[in-house]
Amino acid sequence: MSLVVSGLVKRFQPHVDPVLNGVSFVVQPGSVTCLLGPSGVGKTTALHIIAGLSDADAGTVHLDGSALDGTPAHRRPLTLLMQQPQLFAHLDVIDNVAFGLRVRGVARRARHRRSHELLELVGIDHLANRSTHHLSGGEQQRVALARALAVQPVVLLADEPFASVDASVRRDLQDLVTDIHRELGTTMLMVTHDLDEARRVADHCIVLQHGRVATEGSPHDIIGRPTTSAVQLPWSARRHVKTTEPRSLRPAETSWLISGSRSSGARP
Amino acid sequence: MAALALAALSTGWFFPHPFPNSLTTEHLSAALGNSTIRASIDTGLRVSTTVTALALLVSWPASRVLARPHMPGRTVIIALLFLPSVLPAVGLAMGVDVVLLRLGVAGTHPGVVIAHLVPTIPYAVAVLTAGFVRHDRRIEVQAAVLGANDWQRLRLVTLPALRGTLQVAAALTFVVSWSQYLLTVLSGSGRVVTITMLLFSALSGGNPSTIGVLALITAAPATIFLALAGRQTTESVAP
Repeated sequence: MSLVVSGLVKRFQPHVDPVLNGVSFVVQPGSVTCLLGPSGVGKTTALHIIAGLSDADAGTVHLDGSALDGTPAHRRPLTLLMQQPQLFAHLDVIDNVAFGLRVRGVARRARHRRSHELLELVGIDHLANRSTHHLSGGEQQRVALARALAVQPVVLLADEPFASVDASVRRDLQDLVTDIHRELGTTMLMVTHDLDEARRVADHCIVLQHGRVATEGSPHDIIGRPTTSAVQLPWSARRHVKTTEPRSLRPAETSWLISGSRSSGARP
Repeated sequence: MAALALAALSTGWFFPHPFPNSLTTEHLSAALGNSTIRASIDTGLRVSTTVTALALLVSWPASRVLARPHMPGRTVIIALLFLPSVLPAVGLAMGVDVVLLRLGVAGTHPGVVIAHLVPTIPYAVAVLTAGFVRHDRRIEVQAAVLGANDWQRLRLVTLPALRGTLQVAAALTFVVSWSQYLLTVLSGSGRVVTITMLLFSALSGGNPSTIGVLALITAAPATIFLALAGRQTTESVAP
C-alpha cells in the first residue's frame, strides 16, 4: 500500500513562512524511505501530520487510495517510533511490546506469544520480564521497535529513532532495521538528518528544504552525488565528520560541501 | 501519638507519675462498641470518602490544564484556590453555611460534602498539578499512535503513570476532610455527626481516657492514609 502525501502546508505562526509549503511525495510499498533535511525544515511536522498528531493547513494524506485526513491517530493503520523510546515505565518489557495488541483486544496469551517473537527478532527476548528502568538506551529503542512492529503497521513512521543513542549502538540498530525490513518487508518512512544513516537503511530519499521537496531519489543519487545546488545540508555533513567514520563518508561529504554555498539557515 | 495511645490505654494515671499504673483496652473496646461512636465513624468515612472522590474528579481536569507548559497565571490561580483556607475558619464556615441554606442542603450529608470540597479541592489541585507538571505527555501520544483511544490512554497509561500522585492527593484530601470540625458543625447543623465532632465534645468533658480513645480513633484513618501516601512518595523517588 503506497502512502501518498499531496501539497502539505503547515504554518505555526501568521505572517511567518510556512514550515511546510506544498510538500508532496509518495512512499512506495515495501520501501524504506528517508525524509532528509536540516533541523527545523519540517520533517517531524510532516511525520506528525501523517501520523494524525497534527493537522495540516492544506494538503492530503492518502494510504492505498483512502484519505486519512480527519482520522484520529489511534485509528490510523500507522505507528510512530519516536526519537526517545517513550516506554511505559509501569509495564515490563513484554507488556510494553504487547501494548498495541492489548488495546486491540488481543488475548493475553496470543499477544505475549507475538511479543516474544518480536523480542527475539530484535535480539532481546531474554529481557522480556525486565523492568524498563534497567535497560540501556539501545535496549530501550529495541523494545520500542518491537512494540511498533507488534501492531503490524501498514507504514512504520520513525522520527530520528536512533538519535538518542551513541554511534556504535546506532550502527547496530540501523543494521537491525535493515534486517527486519528484509525479513518483514514493512514499509518505513524515517526522518533523519544523518546522511550516513540514510545511506545505510534507505532505498529512497526525499530531501526537504525551505518547506518543499528539494529533490528525491536513491541514496546513491542523493547522497553520493547531489545534483542540485538547492540541496545543501552543511550542518548535517559537518556533524558527520565528528560523530561517524570519516573515511567512508569523506567523498559524499566533500560533494555536499563543494556543490554550492551554504544555505542561510545552516548552523556553523 | 504515643501520648494519645498511653492516655487511651491507661488506667489510674495520676500526677506526678510519668507513666500510667496499668494499661487496659477497656476504654477502647467500650468506645468501639458504642453505637454513637460507631455511627460517627461511619458518617465521617462516608463523607470524607465522597469528598475525596469528588475533589479528585474535579481537580483532575483542572490540574491537567494548569500543568500545561507556559500556562499563564498558574501560581495565581492556585493561590486563589487556597484563599478560603487562609480565611478565619468561622468566617468561611458561616459563608458556606449561607450558600448551603440557599441551596436547601444545610444539615444534610450532601451539604457537608459540598462544604468540605471548599478546603479540600485546593490541596488536590496543588498535588495533582505538581504531578502533571512532571508527567511526560509524550507517552500518551505514543499510546495513541499504538492504537489506544482516549479511555484506554487514561486507564492504561495516564492513571498508572500518576498513581503515586493520585494516592498522595487522595490521602491529603481525605485527611483534610476527616479533620474538619467547624465546617461540619455549621454545614451539618448538628445533624451530621462525625468522630471529629465527638472528640471536640469530649475535650470539654475533661476525661483523659475518653479524650485519648477518641483522639486515637480520629487519628487512625489519617495516620494510615498518610503512611500509605508517604510510602508511595518514597517509592516514587527511589532509584
